[in-house]
Amino acid sequence: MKQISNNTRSNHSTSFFHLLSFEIKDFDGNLVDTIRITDNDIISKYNDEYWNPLNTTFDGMQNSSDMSNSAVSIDINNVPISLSKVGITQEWRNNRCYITRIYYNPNDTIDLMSEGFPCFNVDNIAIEDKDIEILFWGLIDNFAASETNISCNINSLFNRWQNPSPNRWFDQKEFTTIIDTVAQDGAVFWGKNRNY
Amino acid sequence: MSMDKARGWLEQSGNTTGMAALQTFNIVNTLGNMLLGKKPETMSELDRVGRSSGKQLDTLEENTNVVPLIYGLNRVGSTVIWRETNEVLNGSINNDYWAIQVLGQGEINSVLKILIAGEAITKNGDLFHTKYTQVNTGYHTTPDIGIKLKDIVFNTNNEDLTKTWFELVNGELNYNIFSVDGPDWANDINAAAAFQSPNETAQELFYETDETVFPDNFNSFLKPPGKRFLFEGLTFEEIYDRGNNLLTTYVPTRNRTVEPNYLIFDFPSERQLKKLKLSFIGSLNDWSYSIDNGSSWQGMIHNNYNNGTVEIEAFDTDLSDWISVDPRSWSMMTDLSKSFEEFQSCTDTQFAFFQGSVDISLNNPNTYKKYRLKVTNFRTIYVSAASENFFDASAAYPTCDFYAPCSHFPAGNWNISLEPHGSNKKHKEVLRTDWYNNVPDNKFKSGGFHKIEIETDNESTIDFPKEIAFASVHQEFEWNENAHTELDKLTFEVEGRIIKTINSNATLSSNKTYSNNPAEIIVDMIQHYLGFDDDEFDLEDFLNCKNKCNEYGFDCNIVFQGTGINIQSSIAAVLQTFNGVIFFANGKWKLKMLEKEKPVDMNIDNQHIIAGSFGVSMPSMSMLSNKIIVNYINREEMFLPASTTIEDEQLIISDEKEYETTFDINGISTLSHANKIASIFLNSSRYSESLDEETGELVRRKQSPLFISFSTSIKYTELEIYDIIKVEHDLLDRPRQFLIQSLEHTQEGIINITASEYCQTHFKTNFGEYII
Repeated sequence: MKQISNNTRSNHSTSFFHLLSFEIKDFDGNLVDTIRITDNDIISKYNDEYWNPLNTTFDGMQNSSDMSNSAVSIDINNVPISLSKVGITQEWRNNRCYITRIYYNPNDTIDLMSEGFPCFNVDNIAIEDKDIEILFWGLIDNFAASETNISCNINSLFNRWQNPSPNRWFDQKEFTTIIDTVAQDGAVFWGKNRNY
Repeated sequence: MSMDKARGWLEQSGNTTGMAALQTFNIVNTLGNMLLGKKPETMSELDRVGRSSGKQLDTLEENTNVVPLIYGLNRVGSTVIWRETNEVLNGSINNDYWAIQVLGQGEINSVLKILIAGEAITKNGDLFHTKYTQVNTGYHTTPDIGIKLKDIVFNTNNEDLTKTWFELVNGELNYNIFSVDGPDWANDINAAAAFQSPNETAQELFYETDETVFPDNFNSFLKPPGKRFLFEGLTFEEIYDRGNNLLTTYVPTRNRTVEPNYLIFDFPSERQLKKLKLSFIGSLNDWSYSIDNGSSWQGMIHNNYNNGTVEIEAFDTDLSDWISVDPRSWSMMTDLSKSFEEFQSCTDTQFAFFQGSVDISLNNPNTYKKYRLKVTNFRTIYVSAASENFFDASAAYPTCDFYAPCSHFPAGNWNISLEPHGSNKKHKEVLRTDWYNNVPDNKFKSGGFHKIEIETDNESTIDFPKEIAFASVHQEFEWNENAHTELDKLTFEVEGRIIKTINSNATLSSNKTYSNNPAEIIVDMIQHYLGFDDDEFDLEDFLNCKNKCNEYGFDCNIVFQGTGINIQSSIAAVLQTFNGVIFFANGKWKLKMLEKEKPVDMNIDNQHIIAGSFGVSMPSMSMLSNKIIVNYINREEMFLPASTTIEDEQLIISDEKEYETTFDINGISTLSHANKIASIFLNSSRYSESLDEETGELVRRKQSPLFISFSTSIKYTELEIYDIIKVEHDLLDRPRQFLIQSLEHTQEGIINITASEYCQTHFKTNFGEYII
């Protein structure tokens, strides 16, 4: 069993929405930004971070016992062109993406103006009235953008498990100067004269 | 109902999502696939993992291989990454072979045995040896740079060179004197003078030694060859016997030599002599007799020769023989202008040694015992007949470790030239010779001139890769006996990588220790390959698996050495050893395994299953087995491949045919472990269970376990892989327990679940006894 609370689901009728986080790095691999998007209807706040509401759809997120690599396709529509450009000027691929699900009780009174603008502040919901679960944690595989749309595929972490094992080879640079000694025919004259 | 039919039926029923989950499973997790009705013939990746055992035991000299990853107790070969023989001059023979042979990646715990042709060779501390082969094992974990060749320790004799000891083996004197740097007697007269004038006699010294030190079992210790002893001691140290028992302390040693007729040590002062607890005993009676008769040598050491150069001659063949002392002036030994000249030209009964350079004139060496020469940190470059004078006064008293004597001394003049060690050291060297027990005339006979020159190696700064476990190997071709003409191929019985262990459900250990627990190996592999932090593991699950593995007798001893294998397959090979699964959920890696008596996590009934989503299936008979073969590596049989077969005769009769499935599980290393896994495989693929109305107990039913798929709501979002659910549905004949195999969460909040039937009897024998 997952170790998540069952506050909302056990006691209330439940609503939920999702928070999608995309880590963006520069071409040197340094984290420069995190793109935060939600499929909620309004700006959402969680852990003091704001998630922008965009028309977002994604596939089912699968977890299985056989270490298979599942992928999730994410489509984000009606995006501003400035966001699409981020995908060109920075590196999305091979960075982490998280999909977090927020459960809450729709019957609770939530102050949507606590931030001074319409905002669903998860942090303001009493802990016994919400459940939070990271549903998917993967690596961005590919990225495509148009003026109004972003789409990307997220591979599960098992994708990296296709790398070779073991991961060190005797022909790698770390061994090269040494192996050369072995590779040279005639370098070893054990038990015989050198000029044989 | 066949699997295909079941799929068709399910697809017609509208539930395509759950079956899509079934269809997209990779073929990796063997038991999981059997539970899903898939036969494991397509486990090509795992096959490659399992077929590395042949190469695993070989000594490779190729650079087309991977550096092995060793977990647990295994027997492995090695890969030579560097080797060299002595260079030769004038057609002489290369006696010595040096090699660095890599065992695996990272730091391994220990080398328990080294085997040659299946036979374990002698182990002495960290040194393994035969007469002609010596192996030192080590590892290096410096994170940034590799170890340098000059810093790798080679052992070149059969003994532990870090201790001083003596031993008589088959009439041959073996000894080692471990030396540390002491005062530079040659260049620092004040240091020499610091030793006070002796106030005791050598006779007292040896009496003291006799009374206080000599062990009862003298025969286990040195039997002196009945020769002369010359002591020149610059340092204090300890003497141990071969059992590593401290026999003496404060033995002055630095430069010493043996010639066929006497063993020579040098010591500088009475003070050291007093504490000299030598064990030249074996023929203790000889010594005792001589000591009693010690007037011939009493006092020769100290007062007259205040630096304590002593030379003693004794004969061990006749108790009436005597020990004599042929004192030499210490001043001559230390006066470079004189002593060099004097000792450079030794005559028959003299053997001169000083300052790292030895000249010996042997007239007829073949009539005498031959000795061993031990040279530390230097490399013999060539041995040849020569007439040059190799003496180099400038090299006097180098700060080197030079163990003398001796060696094969063919007739002639031998010169050993040494240069200072330190950053230039490379090898320890042994030259062996025959040992003749009968010395008829105490004379050397004439011969030519031979030369040994020892110098440093300019290749000594080669960097070796970081984080490798390796053995430094020296092998010797005994050209004089035409022995050991072929290099030994070594196999190593090792305890593999040291890894972080799971100490609690919250933390991994900060220090790495040896473990062959599969759960801990999985943690190490994920961190090694994928770089996840400690807090990204659900350690409660991992700890549970660790404890269950210990309870069930599951361990993992495996070497990853094959090529074309990926990380997933390697981890799957470990999972096979304990029926485990790994997955990533809620931001953490989670590890689960098949457990007996696992309680139900949730009950699900019709009300909570989305209408029309429930489907049930069974695999086709062709996908099932009634005979399971598990191939494994049997550590009780020299770590060679072995096989065990578990079959169900009743099933074979009812199936009217043998359906055989074979698993290669290299991580298993005992028959009992293999049998447990095979039995659970078989039961899990063929049997269901129900409550016996008469006894009220669960009994095995000859019905293949069911597979179900259904959809439910987010109410059950806490469910995860390998949770047990008890499902009650109109389509089922009775409430049954299932093991969740996959979960899919949709954006709309639907959870699609596939599961296989879970039965307690899967873990029991036909007689109702638990297998694990």
